[in-house]
Amino acid sequence: MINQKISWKQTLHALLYLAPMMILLSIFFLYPIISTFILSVFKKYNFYTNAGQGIGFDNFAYLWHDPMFHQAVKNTFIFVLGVVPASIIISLGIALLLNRFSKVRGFFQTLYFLPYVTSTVAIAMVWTWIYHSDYGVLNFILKLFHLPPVGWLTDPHYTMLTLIIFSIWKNLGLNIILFLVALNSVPKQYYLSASIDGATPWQQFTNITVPLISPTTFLLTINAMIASFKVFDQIYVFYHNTAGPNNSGMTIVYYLYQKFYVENNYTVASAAGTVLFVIILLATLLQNYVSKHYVHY
Amino acid sequence: MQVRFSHISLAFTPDKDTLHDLNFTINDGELVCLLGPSGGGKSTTLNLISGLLVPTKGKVLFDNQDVTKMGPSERKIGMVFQNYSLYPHLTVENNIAFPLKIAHWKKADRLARAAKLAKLVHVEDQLQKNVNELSGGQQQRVAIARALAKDPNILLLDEPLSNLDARLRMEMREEIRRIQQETKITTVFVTHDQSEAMHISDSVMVLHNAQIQQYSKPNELYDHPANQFVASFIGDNPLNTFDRSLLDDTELKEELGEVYDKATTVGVRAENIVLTKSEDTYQHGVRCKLLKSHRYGLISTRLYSFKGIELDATGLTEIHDINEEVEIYFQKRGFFLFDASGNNLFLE
Amino acid sequence: MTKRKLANILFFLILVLGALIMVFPFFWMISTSVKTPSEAAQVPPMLWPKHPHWVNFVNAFHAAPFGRYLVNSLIVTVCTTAAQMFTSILAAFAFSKLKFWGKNLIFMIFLTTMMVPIEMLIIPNYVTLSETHLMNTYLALILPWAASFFTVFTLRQAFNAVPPQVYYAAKIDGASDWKYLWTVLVPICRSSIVAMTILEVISSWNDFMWPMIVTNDPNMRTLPVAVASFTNDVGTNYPYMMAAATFVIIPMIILYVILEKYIIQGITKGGLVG
Ligand SMILES: Nc1ncnc2c1ncn2[C@@H]1O[C@H](COP(=O)(O)OP(=O)(O)OP(=O)(O)O)[C@@H](O)[C@H]1O
Ligand SMILES: [Mg+2]
Repeated sequence: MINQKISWKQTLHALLYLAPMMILLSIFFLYPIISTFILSVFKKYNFYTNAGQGIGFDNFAYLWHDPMFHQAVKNTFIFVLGVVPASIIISLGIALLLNRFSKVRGFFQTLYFLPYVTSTVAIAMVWTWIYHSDYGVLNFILKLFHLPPVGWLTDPHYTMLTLIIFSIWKNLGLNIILFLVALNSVPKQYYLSASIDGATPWQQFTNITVPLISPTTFLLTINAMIASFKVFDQIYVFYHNTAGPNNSGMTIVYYLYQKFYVENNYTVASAAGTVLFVIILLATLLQNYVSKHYVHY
Repeated sequence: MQVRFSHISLAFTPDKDTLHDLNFTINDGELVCLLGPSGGGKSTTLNLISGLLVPTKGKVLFDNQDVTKMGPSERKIGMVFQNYSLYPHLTVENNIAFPLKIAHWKKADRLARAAKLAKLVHVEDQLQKNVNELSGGQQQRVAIARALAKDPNILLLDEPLSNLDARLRMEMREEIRRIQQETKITTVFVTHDQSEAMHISDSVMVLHNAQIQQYSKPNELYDHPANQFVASFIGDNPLNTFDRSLLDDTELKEELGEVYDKATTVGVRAENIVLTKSEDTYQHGVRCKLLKSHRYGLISTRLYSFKGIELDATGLTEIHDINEEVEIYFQKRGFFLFDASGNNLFLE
Repeated sequence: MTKRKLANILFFLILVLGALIMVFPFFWMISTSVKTPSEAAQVPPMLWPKHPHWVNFVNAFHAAPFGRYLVNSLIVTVCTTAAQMFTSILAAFAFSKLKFWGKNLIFMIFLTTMMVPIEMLIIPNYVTLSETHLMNTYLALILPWAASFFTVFTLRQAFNAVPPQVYYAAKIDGASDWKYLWTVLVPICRSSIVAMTILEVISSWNDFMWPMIVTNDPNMRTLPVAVASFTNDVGTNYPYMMAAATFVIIPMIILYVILEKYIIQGITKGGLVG
């Protein structure tokens, strides 16, 4: 048992346990990865015969010259920049506050986490009602402060802001919970000795808390980035199956969806998928590198 | 059931044998202790009996039947591991009954058997508890009960008492002895604590350096150690050893006779150094100076200097001054001569 | 001292305000659901209608075949989760306790599937499923998610934490690998398994893009897909739309409130992995 040499019999035995996972992941994950790369370099592709013709980088050249794709990339990055830093700062702030009021912490944590477990599509539907130009609550609140109403879902200038506000709200709970874990794993004696040395709460925060939770902050940042690069569901709902007024809400995944599902242009869609893959791969590699070298669980 | 090892070798890495050419027999109904320092190969030997390890060379025989190729589940053994071997998600009752469940016993039957075994190891009032709620000693007893559940031919215990405090260890070792005598089951008990081994076993096997150093009755180990390793490993006090040449100009040399010439090392137990000669001692002593004396209770431990080396002595009651020169005598039963390879020369 | 107290009060108010913002959309959803369309469109908005029209839920439920959608969602969620847990438990066991050739290689190959954005895979998977004529079937909704390396990875960590002696003890007690896995290892690691199960239930229930793409037959829609296309059926009847959203959201909220402990545990264990 312990010292037995690995035999064919044991390998076969183990493969029986692995087979279901290996077969399914091969068909639905490994093969598609390769297949997407291949599709993305075909010049022509026939869906019905599943045959491609001609190899080249025409599809990437197409993306390179397509203003719509430029818009998608630009919007995606605006979205990431709009969501990630704000989300990290707000959730850290709330986590700190929750730690301060430990008695009601559980209750508030439950409330803050609610959006995270709900369907993006369904709750986005609710937000279309909140965002409504004429009857929406949001514009009503603006009016209370004597501000002019905003066409949240109709004015192309506000499209990204609309998406960003919703997405921060939707995913805040996850970051709060993970920040709470990090905050509570900072050894208490650090704070004790710091307060004996006369450090103010703010000094304690910047000199102890921030450096010690920085690995978590970093990981959350990357995770939030990866999730934000893939934004799709809310756009679909907010703009009724379009990418917003004048395509102002076009993102990489929406572009992929549009090319693939609406225009049936599989090769360009695959090229867009490949671009997304590269972006996310870079983020993941960065994350792995940092968690290996700087994070100690 | 009788257990026999025939030319067993085991190597974890190709360049070094962890056990080398082991041959021994454990008789039916005996309790044998495997004793030795850490890393001596005790657990390895036990795992070879259990079938968790497969020997690199040689045969394992149960009642003369070759079981070398048999897996652990077919060998009809019960085993208690050093740590963590209970199933943490089950109650005491279900832990004990688990092997029976695997063997497809009916529920009523296995619970009845579990209750009986629980009584044997005195945990019958804990049956419904989760095992995490038990003390270390209770957990060990449950593990013993579970090992006994299938009515095994052999019971293997790997340092079952190592986690317990001194008192509980004493109690538990008596209990294991009691259970073993009640069930008459062939038992192999691993420990690195020599006094534990001396107290409960029929025979003791001392393992060190990939080999059996000695395999005999407990008192034999003490009275007639096979070699220098056993002599220094067994006993509560350290063995004094020094080069034979230090005795060359003493009359003790003559008294020892011709065996003396074969010896290279002399060993004397600290408790066998006395200040008066008698029938038990050699008639010639050596002159020493008292360096230090320390007493607690009745026992005093002393340090004598003899030709520049230091000798520990315990059990002396006569009082004398520091730095005073005295003649000390060696009791024969605690005095050994070893040859160059460490063998006890008095055994021939 | 009073300054500190004042700060505390301020901080608490911020916390309460934040919580109100988090909860408001849910409240607004329910509140709008029980209004008449004209009450819903009232300015200033009414917080809660004088005579809540609870019957709206019933009417909305019948405005589209929500019974059917609910059944679809249940079938897909239960089957996906069960299949994924089953395949993952088996694989995690092999990686954690068995010895075999190519273990590291296989592990590394499938580890790459964790880094791939699933959005990228929909095209080839769509092709695969249309070629095998599985479009608009439950299998199309279930199979692609019936295995997940993320789940394998997390369970393997839980299994690794169980000391090997327990495995050896079970072997001595006569248990086969299969018996050991299901009667010892799985019960010992049940809290991790429950946590992963609930997370998968939530993500499977809420999944939108894939079910939307593989179901053009309205009868095969899951709840989120149905809700997204519900606007086409009821136009601007916001109370009905909010009622429909409630159908999707409420089951997960109930699940969450009951099993919060496990969900948080799953998030904190898995969240820092990937
Ligand atoms: N699975 C293994 N793989 C490689 N080497 C091992 C393995 N198990 C034990 N060894 C080595 O074999 C030698 C004997 O180990 P063993 O566990 O039998 O010692 P032991 O007498 O039981 O010691 P202890 O009192 O510390 O438990 C040690 O040097 C150990 O490092
Ligand atoms: Mg050992």
